[in-house]
Amino acid sequence: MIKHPGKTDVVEIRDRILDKGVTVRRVRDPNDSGAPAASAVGAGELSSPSERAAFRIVQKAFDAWNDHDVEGCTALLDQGYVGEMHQTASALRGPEDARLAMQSIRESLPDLRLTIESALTVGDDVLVSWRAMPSEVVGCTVTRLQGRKIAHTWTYAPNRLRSKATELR
Amino acid sequence: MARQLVIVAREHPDLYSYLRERFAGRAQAEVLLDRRVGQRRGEHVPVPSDRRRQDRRARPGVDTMLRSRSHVIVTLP
Repeated sequence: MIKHPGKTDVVEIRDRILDKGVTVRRVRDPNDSGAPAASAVGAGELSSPSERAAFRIVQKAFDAWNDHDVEGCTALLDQGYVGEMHQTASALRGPEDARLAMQSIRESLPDLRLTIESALTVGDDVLVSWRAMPSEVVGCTVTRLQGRKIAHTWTYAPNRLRSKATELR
Repeated sequence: MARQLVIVAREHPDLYSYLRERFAGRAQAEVLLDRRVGQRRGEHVPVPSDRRRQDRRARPGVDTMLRSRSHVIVTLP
């Protein structure tokens, strides 16, 4: 039975599955040539409870982003947060810097949604492969956690998305 | 403990270098550069006796995925 009225059914079901370490394999459109059949996100593939917890923090950040919740996303960041992007010299430093950048990107690309396609967690490092919609651009982000906060991110994105993000910073 | 591979497409050497360094020394994860270049065997060339019993590429789906993305995460049993 779904017990938390504040959450959507889907989110709660997903959280409960993650808590139990059940492997989830997403079913995608068979016409999608990029379907990640071998590497769909499976919380059961993350080896320890702490690694599952680390993955959930990153997943919360993606959920907050998709819900246009910039404040919620910022709240997950450590005070010493550094956000880097491949081939971009300047980095985001601190939650406020990140909040302003996220706000700019959100205003410029209101339809941008990120879907996690696969993930790997090793200790405090979480590698997440994502797909940006509606552009269908795929990329990845490596997140380092410190405590239960996001301390560092490094994002690798193809040129199209990267140039847009850089231009907005 | 499940072991995971991150296979990076050859067109993304910067990603490979970064991930290799980031996950260095971690037994649970290994980062590999996909060095393979297409299929050497012709698709429709008949041969009298094929000595290869099966495709040595155990995960052909990975090849397909690496054509459209920079990397693939694979969990080994």
